[in-house]
Amino acid sequence: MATTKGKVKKSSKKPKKSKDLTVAMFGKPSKGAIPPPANVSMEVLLCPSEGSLSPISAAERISFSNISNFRPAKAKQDQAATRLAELGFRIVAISPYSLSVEGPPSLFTKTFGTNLEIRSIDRVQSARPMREKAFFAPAKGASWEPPSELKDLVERAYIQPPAIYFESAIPPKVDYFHLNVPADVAMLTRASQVHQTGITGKGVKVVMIDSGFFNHKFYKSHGFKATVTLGPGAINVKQDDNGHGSAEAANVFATAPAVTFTMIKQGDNSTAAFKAAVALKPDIITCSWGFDLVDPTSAKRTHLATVPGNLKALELEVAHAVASGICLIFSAGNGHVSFPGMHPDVISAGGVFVDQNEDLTASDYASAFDSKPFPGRHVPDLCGLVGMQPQAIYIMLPLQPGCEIDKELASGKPFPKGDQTTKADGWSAISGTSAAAPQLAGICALLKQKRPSITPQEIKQALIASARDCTHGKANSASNEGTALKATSGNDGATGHGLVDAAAAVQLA
Amino acid sequence: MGRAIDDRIEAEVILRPSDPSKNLGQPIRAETVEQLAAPKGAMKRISDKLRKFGFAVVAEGSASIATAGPKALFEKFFKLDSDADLKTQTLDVPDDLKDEAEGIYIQDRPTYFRH
Repeated sequence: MATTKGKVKKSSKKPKKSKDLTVAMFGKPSKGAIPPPANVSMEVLLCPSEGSLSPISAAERISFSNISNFRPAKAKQDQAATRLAELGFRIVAISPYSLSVEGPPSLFTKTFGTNLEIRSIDRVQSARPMREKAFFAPAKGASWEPPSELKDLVERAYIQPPAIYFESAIPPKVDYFHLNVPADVAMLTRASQVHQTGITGKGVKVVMIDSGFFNHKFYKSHGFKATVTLGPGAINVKQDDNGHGSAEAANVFATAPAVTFTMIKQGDNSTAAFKAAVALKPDIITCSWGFDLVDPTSAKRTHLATVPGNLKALELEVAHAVASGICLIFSAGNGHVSFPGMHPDVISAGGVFVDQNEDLTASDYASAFDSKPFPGRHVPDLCGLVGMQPQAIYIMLPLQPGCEIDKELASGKPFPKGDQTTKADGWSAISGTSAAAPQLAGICALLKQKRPSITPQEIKQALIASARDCTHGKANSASNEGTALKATSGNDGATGHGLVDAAAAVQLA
Repeated sequence: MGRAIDDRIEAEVILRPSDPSKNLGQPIRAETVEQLAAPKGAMKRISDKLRKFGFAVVAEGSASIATAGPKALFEKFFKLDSDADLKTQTLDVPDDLKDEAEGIYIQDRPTYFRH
């Protein structure tokens, strides 16, 4: 790739394979690409002060416990900012660890004795047609010679490429039967009938504890608003690298579009995250996760007889939350013997599959079992919409483009093993009882809006009494020591009281 | 899941009920959970001790305290086998906390029920 020191050149050849990350990630722009901005944006890392470490060359990883070791002296930061400004750069932001700086490309190349070239976002990263954005990037193998007045101040200056946003508010087209949010989920749970009466969950506080929340265009376009709070030990409030929380939150908005929604992004301690949720004093907490209470050495997946010690704190806090008037919904599990999904005080959300003819079948993906630690407790209480085995690919949900789930289901395998979406399009067709819990949570919010004084026990009773009977199919055998419980007329082993019916439940509230 | 650092260990400290006849081993329900309440001030006393020992107190609940700290601190303080998986080891409640703490348990990640 031809470059000239101190100059900016438009690349004319296809980039060669290189270990350079920038070269590997971005290609040359094609005709019609949005031209690069007039200024380059860069992040300037300062040379370490005496006793501090370089974030580039230090052997140890940067973490919250050692971050102060990487902090250069304030005087050095001030000197660097002053000198960069004197050279003609604009100082956009100053943090204790780096400076955000802007300037013309020519000033950058001249100041740092390096070369730039124009690149664009590589088309292979884009899942759907989008206009390319060109930007300045360091030329491959370019030199780096900061001027003497910056040599002891600036360790590196990294040009920032434009952020890549792949997702669309509109879900991708796939050729198998599936549901879309919010419309299909609202219709099949009969929440849309309630919305037409003006009950939309307005004023009701719903908290979801999950992997985080990425503010996808889907949410913005529909006007769905979320607040994200970091639970203890969690980081990166704007990111959801797993994708689970961002996806499942759409089920809450599908059934209760006007709720006051908060996502608690959890770290490694779910009980701590649960406490953070309770501290917000919500009306409803929904959790699409749990712990599998089986003997790990048993091939038959023998159920544990008691709640293990490491989950006793969670058991205490769950009971206390309900005693405080908070309505809790937990997923029943997908073949798991789920706790707290089996706790008697929670609403345990199982799965019913609704097909194109609107016929109801028990999901063979969802759990159904009798709890051993809580004698007399059957899981689930009732159901939300859940797909079938092998993968429960059923509801097209938005998530962070390129996150774990987005990549995993875009395997290229045909349905029902793959979901026919692409790896960075920000959509995946998933469900599981992870989808059922937030659907029920939204419907609980409708009941709460209708009658603010309603108790968690009354909400549960109303949902159970109004559920639509599901008489076909059977649940996931893995959750019941190898024997799948069947759906029959009335309250049954597979689906409990059946599929939630928001309109009928609100009538009873 | 937004994990902060690899060597951070999370644990829950369960407070001992003020009524010694109450058994935390039984199913805990909303209608009876108040009977398991800890003595007034126990939460603060244990939190203060944990901090004194070098642990962080990351959340206080109704009857439990979420604490965290570096793996090395857990190994040293609880005399654990550093070669074994910490999450499979039982933590003995130290004498300093024994009067008011029922148990201390290392926490593990949950399963998301998409799978």
